Amino acid sequence: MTAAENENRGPFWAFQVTGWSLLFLATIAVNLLRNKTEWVTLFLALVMAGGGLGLTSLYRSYIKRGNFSASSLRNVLVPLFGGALVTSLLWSGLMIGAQYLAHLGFPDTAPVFDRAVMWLTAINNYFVVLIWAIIYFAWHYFRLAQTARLDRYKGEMAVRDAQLNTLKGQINPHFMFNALNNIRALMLEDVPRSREALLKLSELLRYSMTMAEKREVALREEIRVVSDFLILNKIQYESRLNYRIAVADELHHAVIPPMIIQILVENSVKHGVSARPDGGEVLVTASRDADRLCIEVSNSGKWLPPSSENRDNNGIGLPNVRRRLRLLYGDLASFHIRQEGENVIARIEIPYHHE
Amino acid sequence: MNSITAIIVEDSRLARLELRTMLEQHPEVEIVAEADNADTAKELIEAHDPDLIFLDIHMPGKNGFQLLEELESVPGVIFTTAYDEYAIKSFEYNALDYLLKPINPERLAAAIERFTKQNGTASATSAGQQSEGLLHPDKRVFVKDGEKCWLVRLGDIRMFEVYGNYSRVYFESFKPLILRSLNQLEERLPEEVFFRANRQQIINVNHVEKVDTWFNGRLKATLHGGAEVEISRRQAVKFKDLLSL
Repeated sequence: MTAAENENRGPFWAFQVTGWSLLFLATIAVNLLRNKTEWVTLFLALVMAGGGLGLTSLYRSYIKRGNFSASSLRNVLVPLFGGALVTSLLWSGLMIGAQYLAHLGFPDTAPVFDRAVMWLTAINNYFVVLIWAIIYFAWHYFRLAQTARLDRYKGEMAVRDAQLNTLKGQINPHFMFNALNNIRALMLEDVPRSREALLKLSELLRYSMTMAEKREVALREEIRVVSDFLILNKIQYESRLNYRIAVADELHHAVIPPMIIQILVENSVKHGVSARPDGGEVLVTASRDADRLCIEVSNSGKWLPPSSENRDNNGIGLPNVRRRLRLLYGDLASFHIRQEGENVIARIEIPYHHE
Repeated sequence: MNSITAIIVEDSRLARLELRTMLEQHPEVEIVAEADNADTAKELIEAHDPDLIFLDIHMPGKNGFQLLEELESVPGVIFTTAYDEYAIKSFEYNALDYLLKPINPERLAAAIERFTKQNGTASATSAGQQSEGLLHPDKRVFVKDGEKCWLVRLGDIRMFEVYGNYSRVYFESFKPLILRSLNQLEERLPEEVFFRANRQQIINVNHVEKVDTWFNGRLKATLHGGAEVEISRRQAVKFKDLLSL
């Protein structure tokens, strides 16, 4: 095995080889202390350590084949105690065979070989393999727990990030300051209308601050805010902006994620009105198709899929909508943008629920 | 009092009304025209040749920067924007004057005062000397090079150099490109200041540090900043005349 492979497979082989080498060296050391310097003891120690190394490695590939991490306690105990038993029996067989051969070949120097030694070897080996297996399992559970914690942390970060982005994307500051500037000017020529506009702006701000934390809102609340938003834009764009909102009364109790229509409408105003010298039209519709709620926002213009050239700051809104829908509804929601004649239409479909 | 002629370029009618109303507090500023898009603005600026424009960056069609790039010479500019992080960073980086909408009257007053200070003397001289549509050295050009942009006084430009259909502009430590050919520039630049040294280069005679004789009756001029420019034999005679004046 090369060093690179070793790195990829984690620390297992380093521990495995070191551990068995140490056991081998310890056995030799004990033998030396007891003045057993014959070659046959070295041979037996080699068989012991080599056999242990080889057989526990095989045992590991058996453990790895079963997905023990996700299974029940029984599925863990069987490979742990049973696997350790089988492994230790094979290992003991190998060692006892070697001891028997040593006994036959070198009757004078080989260690004592009888039934008691055989039993002792078997029991001793079972415990060695069991300890090996416990360490192996414990290490794995430790690693799994660590990864799980890391994954959970990453997940939390992603959610927080998304929340932050939605909050940021909620009321476009460019829109807000333009609205304030327009209201200031409107006071010069139409005080009642400017007072009305200030109220609309307040409601829009309040909605964006309080609703953002909610998972779902009633469609009528969102529509009211979208309507306020369009009224305020009408002050900015005057005859360049025309809009229509067509939502049947019976859909007013349907629930939707907050600010989702708002973001689409904001996008429509930006591309379909603000960027076009002659302005354009924005149309908001909602309809129900059995258990599906369909919302469409259409604007004048040509649909340019985001590219590196036209993704100044419009790259945040639409991916945001897509991500929120996926988080909330998984595969049950869909979001598409299509070109139809001279209009670009964004369509959201979500499961129909009501208050 | 010297009156400042100004044009408001802004797509929102109410924003124009707001700015016009605020400027009533500044009788020295005379609004000669208003435009709601870049193309109209370009025509009006060329027709009125104002001292100053109030320019909204965000407009349908061409934006404020694109308008400035199309102008042969740029009047004083005070940018206006509601909120545009990118543009504001660029204004600050390039020391251009800008106002945030809704506009604070004190900041408007400060911007006008800054403009008057910087241009008071210039507009007095340029008024008399403008002849046959040539650009006075005090006129500015707008130069944009990626994220950087400058309003450069013509007199501060040391040299123009051919670069395909573009020209490279040398000033301070910068040498960005502008979308104008050297011949186009030569037609509009005053000859007594901007001298066609050879086919590739136009130099500003006020930035010539030293002149040496060169082979075949040619001359070699060294500009401030160290650039060396060869003056062709045909032009060398003219150049000597120009300097002896």
